[in-house]
Amino acid sequence: MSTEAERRTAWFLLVMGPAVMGVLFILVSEGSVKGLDSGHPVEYLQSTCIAGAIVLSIIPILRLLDLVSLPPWFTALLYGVVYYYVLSLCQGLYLDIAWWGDVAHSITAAIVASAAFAALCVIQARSPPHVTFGRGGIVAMTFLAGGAFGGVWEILEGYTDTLLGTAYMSYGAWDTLGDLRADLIGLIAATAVAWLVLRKRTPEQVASEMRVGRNAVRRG
Amino acid sequence: MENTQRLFLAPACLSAASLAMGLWCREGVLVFLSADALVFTAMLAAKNGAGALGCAVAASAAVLACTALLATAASYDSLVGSGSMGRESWIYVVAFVHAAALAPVVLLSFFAVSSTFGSVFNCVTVSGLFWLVGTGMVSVGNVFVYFLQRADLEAGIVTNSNIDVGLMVGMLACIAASAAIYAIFRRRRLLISPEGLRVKP
Repeated sequence: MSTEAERRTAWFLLVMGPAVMGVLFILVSEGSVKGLDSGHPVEYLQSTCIAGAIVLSIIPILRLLDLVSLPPWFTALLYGVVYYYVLSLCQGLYLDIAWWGDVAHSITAAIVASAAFAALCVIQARSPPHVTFGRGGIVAMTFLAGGAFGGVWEILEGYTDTLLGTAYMSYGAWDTLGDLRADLIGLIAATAVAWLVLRKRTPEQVASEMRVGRNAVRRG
Repeated sequence: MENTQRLFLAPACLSAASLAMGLWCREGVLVFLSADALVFTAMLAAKNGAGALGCAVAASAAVLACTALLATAASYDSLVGSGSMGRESWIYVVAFVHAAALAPVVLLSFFAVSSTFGSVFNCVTVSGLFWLVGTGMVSVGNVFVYFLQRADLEAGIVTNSNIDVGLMVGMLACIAASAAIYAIFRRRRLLISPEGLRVKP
């Protein structure tokens, strides 16, 4: 994709991402989403729509500032997982379908671990010659470090509820441990994919698709 | 078996003992950390990574000491059951004991990865990844709580607070350790390499 096409796409995403979240916010405020009947408080769903809009704005803003350029398939994955989370919540699927939350955690953990893998490839490509991970090292570190994000998410869930004195996000120890178990499944899947990718390509080739830094993005 | 590989029998025995004790007293996080220490020690032994023997011994001894502590003096029955400590305080005791075992095992993981895959880590990559690896280990360790401590969960001994506090304290401890490692590695120009710790040429 040319630099100009990338910028046009970024503008499109910057407008459309928050706009869709805005529509959802209005539907939530009007009481037209099923998630309210399932038991989610209205302010929780509204906050989720606002958070979704902010998250979806970050990637296009970084691209328009010439700081980060991600391959289209990866951007689509990141957008997909945010929409999956917000739409599922608004439709009450996390509460109505027992396994929905586990599947969501596995998918999200796999995508976040993939981002960690890509970041490790970028670090490898940009490190001084005497610092190297090696292919096996990148796969091992994807598994070891990729597990952190599920933990950080559970910390956010737990402490959000503790600080606000609510029970919006965490539903007890069984739920938290079930989430971490699902995260582990996603992490294993992402690590397997990372291993397969590095059998065919070098970390530098993977990193070349993830252009980070003002000069790198402009060159691309 | 070469002489250098024989040296790894000591940390392997320590972590195996910790694993057995953890399984006996059903301590999910420490079972995972003990298994980690055992696997990383085996990886180092397989590659004759004698340069990391000290770290392997320290990590294995730490997990054994922490498991023994939680099985005896710091157990729920000893502290909360006897009335000498409240449940809320005990949660923090457990979290700090887990964190004490965690940090050396995380450092050992870098030596094991380096030895097995030929990786070389400098102050930036070690400190940047250290807290992520540590938080990841506590997260996966909690999956073992799910399977090993079902009775504790049903009895309300392990609650969501235990998990959240454990994750938070583990992460903060690893962030502090990351900062310390960054300072030490940068000042002494250290690298973690397949030969163990070495000074940047």
